[in-house]
Parts: sequence; C-alpha cells; structure tokens
Amino acid sequence: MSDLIGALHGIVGAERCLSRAEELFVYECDALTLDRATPAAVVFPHSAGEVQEIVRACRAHDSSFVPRGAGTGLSGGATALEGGVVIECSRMNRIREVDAPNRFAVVEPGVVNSDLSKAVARHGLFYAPDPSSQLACTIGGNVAENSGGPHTLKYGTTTNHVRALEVVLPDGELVRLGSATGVPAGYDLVGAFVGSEGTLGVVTAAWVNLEELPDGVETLLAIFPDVVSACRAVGGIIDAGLVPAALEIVDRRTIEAVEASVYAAGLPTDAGAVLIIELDGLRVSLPRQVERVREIAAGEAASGIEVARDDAERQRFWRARKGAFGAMGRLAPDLYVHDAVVPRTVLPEVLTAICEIADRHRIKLSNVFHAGDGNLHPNISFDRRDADERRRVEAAGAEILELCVKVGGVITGEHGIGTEKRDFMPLLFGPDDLDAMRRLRLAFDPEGVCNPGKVLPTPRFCAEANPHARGYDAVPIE
Amino acid sequence: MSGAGSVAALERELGADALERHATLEVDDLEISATLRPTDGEALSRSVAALGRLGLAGIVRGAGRHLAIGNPPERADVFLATDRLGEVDAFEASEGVCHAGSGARIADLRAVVEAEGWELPIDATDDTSLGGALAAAVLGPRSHGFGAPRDAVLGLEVVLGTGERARCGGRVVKNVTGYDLAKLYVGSLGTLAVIEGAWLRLRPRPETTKLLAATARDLDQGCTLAHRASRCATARAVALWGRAEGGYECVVELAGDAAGVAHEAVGLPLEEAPAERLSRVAQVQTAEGSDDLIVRLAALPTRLAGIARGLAEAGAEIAVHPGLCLAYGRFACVDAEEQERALGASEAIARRGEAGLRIERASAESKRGRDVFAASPAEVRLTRALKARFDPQGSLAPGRAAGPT
Ligand SMILES: Cc1cc2nc3c(=O)[nH]c(=O)nc-3n(C[C@H](O)[C@H](O)[C@H](O)COP(=O)(O)OP(=O)(O)OC[C@H]3O[C@@H](n4cnc5c(N)ncnc54)[C@H](O)[C@@H]3O)c2cc1C
Repeated sequence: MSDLIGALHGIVGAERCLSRAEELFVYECDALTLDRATPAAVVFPHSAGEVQEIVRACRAHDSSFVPRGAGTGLSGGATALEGGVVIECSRMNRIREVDAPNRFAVVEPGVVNSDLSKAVARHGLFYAPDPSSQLACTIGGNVAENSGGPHTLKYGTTTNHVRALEVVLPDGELVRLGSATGVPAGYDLVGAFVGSEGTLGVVTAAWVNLEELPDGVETLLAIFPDVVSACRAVGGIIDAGLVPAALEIVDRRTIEAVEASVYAAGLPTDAGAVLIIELDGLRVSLPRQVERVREIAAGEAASGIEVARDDAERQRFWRARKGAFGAMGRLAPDLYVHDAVVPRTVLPEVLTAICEIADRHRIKLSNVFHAGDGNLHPNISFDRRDADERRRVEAAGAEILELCVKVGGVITGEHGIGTEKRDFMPLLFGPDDLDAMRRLRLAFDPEGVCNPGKVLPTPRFCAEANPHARGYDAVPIE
Repeated sequence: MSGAGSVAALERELGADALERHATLEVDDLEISATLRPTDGEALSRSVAALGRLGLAGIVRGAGRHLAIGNPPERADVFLATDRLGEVDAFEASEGVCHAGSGARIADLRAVVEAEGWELPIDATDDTSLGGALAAAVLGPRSHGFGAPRDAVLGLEVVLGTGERARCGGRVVKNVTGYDLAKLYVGSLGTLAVIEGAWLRLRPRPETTKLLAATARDLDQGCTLAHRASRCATARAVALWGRAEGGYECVVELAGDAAGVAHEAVGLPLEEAPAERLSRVAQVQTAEGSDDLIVRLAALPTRLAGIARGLAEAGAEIAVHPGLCLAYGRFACVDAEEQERALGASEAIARRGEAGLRIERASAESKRGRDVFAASPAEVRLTRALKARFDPQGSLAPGRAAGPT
C-alpha cells in the first residue's frame, strides 16, 4: 500500500477509501464516456474536516485531487486526468439548515438537487435550478458547473441562487466565502467560484436561495410540423414580452425514442417537434398569457396545443422532456450530449445547419433543448467501440461548436468545459483572455493541484490553435 | 516619483493629448490634478501599461458618482477616465441584449433600449456611467426586481492592471464557457481591471408600474409592512425610509402585467404616490457631494427591523430594503469625533444583528485603520492574492480593495 493510500486510510478508514483497480473502474469517467483516466484512489469524506485532511495528505504526497459529486457531469470535470485522488462528496449529504422566513438553506455538497426541493416543499418553497439530471446530481456538482435547467429561462442558473460557500481551498484551509445575505461586500468571491468546475477548491457547504412556490402554473404542449416552426414560436413568445418559466423543444427522433420507452408520454410520433411552454406566476396573470401563447403557436403552424388540466398531465408533458436522455439509451450504447448556445433568433438556421452536419458525418442526431435561452443540446447516439463512428462523432461535434461560435454563440451553456471542450476554448477566447482566467485560477491554486488539466488549454496549444481569436463577433450564416 | 514629476513622465510616455490637467480633486484625501482620457480600448491599454512601467497608480473614474467607496488607496497619481468610451454601439432588440462602452451614461442606455420595449435592469442614477455602475456594483431600490448589476452582465471587455486587454463571457444569455470573471470584475471598484465595455441582458418593459406609499405608524410597523410588500410577486422596489424625528414612509413599486399589479396593489394598505418618491429613498445612500457618513448593513430580512432601530437610535436617517437584505444609515457628522462615534455604533449594531457592515462614505481619516468591507481574514487573503495576479504593479488604486487585517 502506498504512503498516500495509507494516509487516506488514516483519515477515513479503509472502508471509505477505494484503491483497487476493479473498484476504481467506475470512477474512470463521468457521464462523458469519451475521456477516461484511472484515479489513484477514491475517498468518501463525511465532513469538511475530513476533506481538509484529505487535501493536506494529497499535498504532502505530491498528489493532485479532484472533487466529485454524482458523476453526472457531461464534460469530464470529475475525471482524474493526472491520476490524482477523487474526493467523492456524495456522503456529505445533510441539509444543515432550512431558514424558511429568510428563504435560504445551508446544504452539504452531496445533497441531491431534487431532494432539496422535496425537503422544503412543506414550507411552500423550492430550489429553482433544475438540471434534467436533478434526481441524481448533487448541489456540489451544480455549484461547480453553474448548472442550469429547463427553468433557467425565468429563474437563472445556479450562480443566481448561491449566497455563500464553505470551501476547502487547495492549500487545505477551510474558508467561508460570502454571507447568508448573498450581498458581497468586496470582491464577489462566490460569483467567481461558482462555475469553476472543481478547480478552485472543494465545496463543503452552500447557502442557497429558496423560492416561494408560484401562485399558479400553466403547462402547455404545442405540436409542430418541424423544429424550425417550433423555434419561430419561441421567438414570437419572447417578442411578445412574455417571460415563461420554461420553453423546451423536443424533436421527432427524441419523441420516437421517448414513446418507445418507459417514459412514454403519449406524444404523436409523427410530429416534427413539440414545444413545452410553462408559465408561472400570479394566477390572475396567467389566462391572458396562455391565450397569447396559443395565438403565437397557432400562427406558427402548431397542429395542436394542449394545456395541462392537472398536475398529473403536467408531469406527463414533462416526462417527455426529462426522460429524453434516458430514452436515448435505446438508440445506441453511447450518447454524446452536446451543449452550446446561440443567439435565440438564429436557432432555426443553426438547427438546419446542424442537421446537415449530422447527415454529412452519417451520425444519429437528436435534439432536445432549452430553446428560450438558445441553449442547444444536439445529442449524438453512437457506439464508442466503433473507432470510425467515434471519429465521425468527434468531427461532427467540433463542427457544431465552430458553427455556434461563428453565429455569435458560445461552446457551452451549462455542461462546462472540463476536458471535453478545453481545447476548443481558443475558438472563443484569445491568449490574453485565457491568461486572465489563468490568473484567477492561480490566485486560488498557485501550485495547480486542484483538478488539474481542466478548463484551460495549455498556453502553447492556445496560441497555436488560434492566435487571433477575438471571439464572439457575429457572422451571419451563409 | 510623485506629483508633478509623475504627470510629466506620463505625458512624455503617452503624448500631451492623452492627459488633461485640472484643478485638484480629492479622493480619500489623495490629491489628483490630472486625468488620462483614453478614446478607445487600445489607448486605455496603453495608459494602464504606462502607469505600470512608471510605477504610478490611477483611479478609474466614470462619472465620479461612487468614488467614495472602498478603503483609502495607498497612492494615486491620476484619474483614468472612461468618459470617451461612451457609445451604445450594439442593440439587438430581437435578442434583448445590448453592448455599450464603459463611459455610456445610464440615462442614454435606458433611452435607447426603452424605445424598443426593453428595460435596463440596473438601478443607478441617470448620470452614472455604465462602467461606474458595474465597477461599484451599484444597488438602488429597484434592484429588488432587477437583481444586482452582475446579473445584467453577459460579457465584459476589460484592461487588466498589466495593460492587457481581455474579454470574458459573451453576448448570449446563458454561458458557462470558462471562469466567470465578469462576476469578479463587477464590484471590484476598478482595482483588478478597467471595464472597457459590456454586453448587457435586458428585461421586457413591464406593461404597468404603480408606485404606492404610506406613512408608517412607527419603525416596527413600517418594517413589517415593507417585509410583507417585499413578498409580492410584482414588487420591483420596496423600501422603508425616514428618521426618528420625521417619521417613516414605506414606498413600494409594483411592475408587471396589469392584472397582476392591480391584484397585488389591492392587498397592500398603501396609497398611490408620485414616482419621484423612489428617488428620495435612493438619496439616503447617495454619497456624492456630501460629507455625511453613510453605512450599509447587509442582514437577513428577519433581522433588519432590529438593525433599523439601532441605526435610528444612533441618530441616522435610514433606508431599509428587505428584498435586498440591506439597511443604509446616513449620519450627518460634522467632525471626526462624531464620525468615529457613529461608526462605532454601526459596528456594534452589525455585530448584534449578525450583519455585514460596509462603510459607503466616511472621511479618509475614519476609514484608515479599518477595512471598510469588514472582510474575514480568509477573504482579505484571497482579495490580496487576486490583486497580485491581476494588477501585479499596483497600478489600479492599490489598497482600495483589501484593508488592514
Ligand atoms: C441525463 C443528464 C441530464 C443532464 N441535464 C443537465 C441540465 O439540464 N442542465 C445542466 O446544467 N446539466 C445537466 N447535466 C449535467 C450534470 O448533471 C451537471 O453538470 C451536474 O451539475 C453535475 O453534478 P454531479 O453531482 O453529478 O457532479 P460531478 O459530475 O460529479 O462533477 C461535476 C464537476 O463538479 C465538480 N465538483 C463536484 N462536487 C464538487 C464539490 N463538492 N466541490 C467542488 N467541485 C465539485 C467536479 O470536480 C466536476 O468538475 C445532465 C447530465 C445528465 C447525465
């Protein structure tokens, strides 16, 4: 047994430390199965104090470390690229405090996203960020990725809901950033930390906002002949000055997969796309909004518009959306969930161009996405054992990112950079832009021991790849 | 190098046109009598780089509305003005986003976007510059509905303390591409980087707004009423303001669709009032052109009434914003001794109410020896580490962000 493993046993005991090859196998990757690396060990701390000791032990033994939640990340963030120690936070899963009058909770990083909303529902409250993976993913992972979800359109992403953080810094110090009020006094250290993909320290607690459950909710399902008309309806709804809680599009291939799966929601399999529209707010305000949405959808050739009559029907509509990723498991052994954002007004053209890319590379593509934010998820079903198919998947993925940047978009809206898109950063940012990001990282982790190899390309790669990158200048699509 | 020598050296480096000499202005009793006024990002970058090369320091100045915030800088040779970087140069009405230079006036930005049915979700006074509003993370009563300035920022172009130009974020409404540096620059008071321009996210203009107000029976009743109003779904601004002698007024602005606003207005025991009443609330926290001591206490809503009482008993005019978790206290202090007493009282109130105290305006003498942000030792350490990385030469108001530990 190496000295490091011995030291880790000394902190958490042998039962909470995995180090045998067969035990480490499942920790070789997160939900991005394309990038893999075996960690030196996986430890399961129960407290911030144990996290501190683990970090110090890693430092003493010249090992890097990688924080991890549920491993549902889609950009390789929780993969131990340099074979370091994975600090698996899922057993730090206590809700330490619920302060209903002041609308916040203090939670440990391993609390599962949807468990928090369930726990506070009796106070008439909920936690707004709702990634589609919310039944599994953890608040620690959400903070690290600045995760979004279908309701981001109205409620914002995780960064809008984190007031303060307790963090073990890469030097082992336990610190509190921000306060329970969420108002920064000086530098907004919490804002800088959220979305840092586990590279600035290990979150051991988060003070998060709780929202009041809305007075009323209306969920509509509109059926369109194709994705393009569904996108136009989305544009019409936003142009009308409405701010729905969610605007989600599911395309035909996804509908077919969902309807053939346990998530079947009774959607018409001959539809080109469905749009889920959720409106929430004061009950008195909703009827007029529902009417307006109906008019707009009808004006864009919707062949049917249903309004959920009760909660069961509302859940049925959402099942089609939330079960989409699971259902795609039927299409092929592997799924590459892509993530990019484009200006909402170019969605129709971009989707058409993405389908062309998929056809050219002969890949199986389906789309289910947060249309109101312009946040695309082109999902590619494939078999990673087929080397040629894998190459085509990667080539198509790269082309899709280039396209999104070309029209003024960005390469990730919620899944993060991790390892997956690290080398695409120069598409968007020049060397000085990336250097500024590196300064932030070095201020927290001067020795580069915390989740190394993520987010930032090496300076040399970056300069060679695109020395003139100035980023997001809009270029119309030909 | 200091004073006239430093200004002359800058003139030699950058050319006489780049620098404007003027009557001496004071920031935290540092005297400054020259201003660099770059006309574009390149010139801004050259200006900052020159400061670094010559070992000089500048204070970034937008419209000069919020220069009182922060610890007293250790040194400052010139102002670095952003007023010539003032254009609203892109407005994509169909996307609800716009881009403007740092020197753009808030009023001009508002006018441009409102004409197309959007509103700028930053509650700063009309003549504030965009860069100033962002760098100072200005909050006003309407921030309750708007959110903080950081929430409006999609992307920034900045010039770091090293003189390097860098961008972060983008112009789309959802983005996690790399570190969220915009969060760091916003509110950093121009100590890490100078904001050159910003992409902003707009909000649809509400169909209706309604201002309501009522005189409170006493401070406690006023706080209870404000707290209740802050729970309204259409509340855009909610404040209680006043002072012990003159009484307190609760002011509420509702904004949204007509049905929702009407529904919630009926439920509040307040009368319709002219829109200007909200500006009066904002004046409690306005530092410019005054020698008053202004403090800001951030506390949980359930503690704000106690904090407001403490401030009022200590003789302050107050403005309480329950939706923002903030209470401001304004003390008319004529001399240093009074200022010291008022600060001591505010510190004690903050301790009792578990509030975060921030000194918004005080004499340099009173600020010295304390950290105006009352940051924890760990936060001070990280603040210093960031400063050392982004502005290694200390060219941008050194000492302003991190006070003594
Ligand atoms: C089917 C499916 C649907 C998804 N839908 C969405 C969606 O709608 N929106 C969305 O945003 N994402 C979505 N995701 C992606 C993923 O669920 C999120 O990124 C989530 O936040 C990851 O949480 P996790 O607990 O699984 O973290 P992990 O995957 O374990 O880790 C993710 C990152 O967080 C870091 N991290 C984890 N814990 C900590 C900690 N305590 N301190 C510091 N860093 C930490 C890791 O180092 C890593 O970089 C989806 C994923 C799947 C598989």
